[in-house]
Amino acid sequence: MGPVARKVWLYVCLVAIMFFLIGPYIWVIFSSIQIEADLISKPPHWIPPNPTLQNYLTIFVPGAGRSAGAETAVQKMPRGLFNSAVVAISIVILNLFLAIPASYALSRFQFRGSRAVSLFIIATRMIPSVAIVIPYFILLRGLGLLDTLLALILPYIPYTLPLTIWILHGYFVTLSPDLEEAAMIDGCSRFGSIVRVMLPVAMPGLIAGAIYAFMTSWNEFILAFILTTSERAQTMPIMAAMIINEVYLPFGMLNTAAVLTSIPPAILALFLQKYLVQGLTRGGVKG
Amino acid sequence: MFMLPAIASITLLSIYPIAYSFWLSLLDYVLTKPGPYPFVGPKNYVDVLTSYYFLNSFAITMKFTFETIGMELLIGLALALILNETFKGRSIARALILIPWAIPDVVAGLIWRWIFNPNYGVFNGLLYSLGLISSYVSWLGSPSTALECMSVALIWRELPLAAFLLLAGLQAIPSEMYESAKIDGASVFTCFRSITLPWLKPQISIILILETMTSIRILSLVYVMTGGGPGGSTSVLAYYTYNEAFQFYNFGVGATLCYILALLSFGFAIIYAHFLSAEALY
Repeated sequence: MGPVARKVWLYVCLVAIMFFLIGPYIWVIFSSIQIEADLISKPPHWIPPNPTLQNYLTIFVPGAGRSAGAETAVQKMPRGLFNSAVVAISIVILNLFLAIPASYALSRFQFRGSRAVSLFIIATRMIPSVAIVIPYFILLRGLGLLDTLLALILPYIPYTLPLTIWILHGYFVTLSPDLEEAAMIDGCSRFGSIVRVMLPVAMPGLIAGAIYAFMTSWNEFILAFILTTSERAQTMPIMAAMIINEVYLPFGMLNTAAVLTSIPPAILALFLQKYLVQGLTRGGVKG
Repeated sequence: MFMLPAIASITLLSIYPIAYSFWLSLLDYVLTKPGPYPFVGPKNYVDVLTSYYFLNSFAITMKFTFETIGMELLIGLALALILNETFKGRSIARALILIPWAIPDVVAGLIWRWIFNPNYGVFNGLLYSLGLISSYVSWLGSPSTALECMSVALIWRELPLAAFLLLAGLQAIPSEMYESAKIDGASVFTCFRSITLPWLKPQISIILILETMTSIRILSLVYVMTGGGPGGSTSVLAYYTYNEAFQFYNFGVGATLCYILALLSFGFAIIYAHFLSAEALY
């Protein structure tokens, strides 16, 4: 095969796979900016004939909804986005707060059982979320905490923490202890040397860990689906999934909800791709 | 001291519920019945393992798992080999490819539900416009195609992860390996078989373990795309578990199924680790 034929082959395969991977997402965005009458056509309009933000307005501006059906379900969605944001940001903060000292200790001190501890942390990653949803349901029901944001934040801690520790550990191990020793000789305490010397150098790891924690808790479905029942605590993925239960299913709304639910993680993936891939290949993988 | 907060929170919030769940699996615990719930020992396990619905779900889950993992590895490898070449627009392609993997799995389900829509879906539209079908087909409404549609959705979502892991593996192969092979007159195919594949072994085993766990536990896609139907043809294990626990509120049987599901994941992980390089795991 000559170099030209090789290049042609390469592009053909690439375009085919890209079409499969990117096409559906573009199609959903296209579908979200059409009115219902344009959506229900055979064959479909390949390019939106009358692009409009009507569907988005229906969700965010009360009273602007002229597209019929599912209004009540749809108008809860700003609250769903808010709930999702609160849960995801709390999880990021808690993760960093708990994971920085833990991963630092794992990489620095050769204390007895440090290997057992890291094995323990990895093993907890393998537990499926379905396996903890029943006990959580019973326990939170007993505490009267069902359908609160706390009911989601509590199980998301063990759900995200092991990976964050593992990613950070991957960074701390590669950083030379000389660096912090030098800082300690210059008069820093151990704590000071962590904050002033280690953390800035481990910044890519911190960013990667934070993105993973955010994405995992933003995207989570099963626990949130069972532990919440109303807009008090339902997150955006739950509200998006609930649309399919509407008697009259407005396709425009379905697509708009899909876009709104996926925009924060999609943007993170697009712009912070470098950190994500580093964390993925150095530390571990999203569970 | 540094470890304490992390260990304590994981133990309290994860290990304790799991232990509690095991206790539940030994009870005849149906939420809608009045308590106290009697201890029945291994009865739930025996009942579940001998029931037709369990065996049916198990078979569906295995079929789904092997299909999805096979395709993820195959297309993922092709994509990784392409992305390992230098070409115009490579960095844009790499950024865009991550999107399916980054978004919630529920959204992936909604997207493909809309694409496979029997009346207005773009998949039907495309095939119809190309003249490949003469009338629209209800892809998710027919037992012979519903599971395959779900496979496509999951492959779509997991492909980026497989490709990126394999790409990292490809980039770690020293180029001298290929150069010396070329001097020895090895063909492209021989190079691939005796250099590329062995070097990718750690990545392949990680993908096998992670993706088996993902496929075995698939639930959100089923809920959004098919609801287990039509005729139970997509009622995978996790969906069956969800039904027992949260439609019939039979928490004893639900917890039993959770344990079987978790043991199945562990079983696969151990088998892979045994046959592939175990030290590659983390």
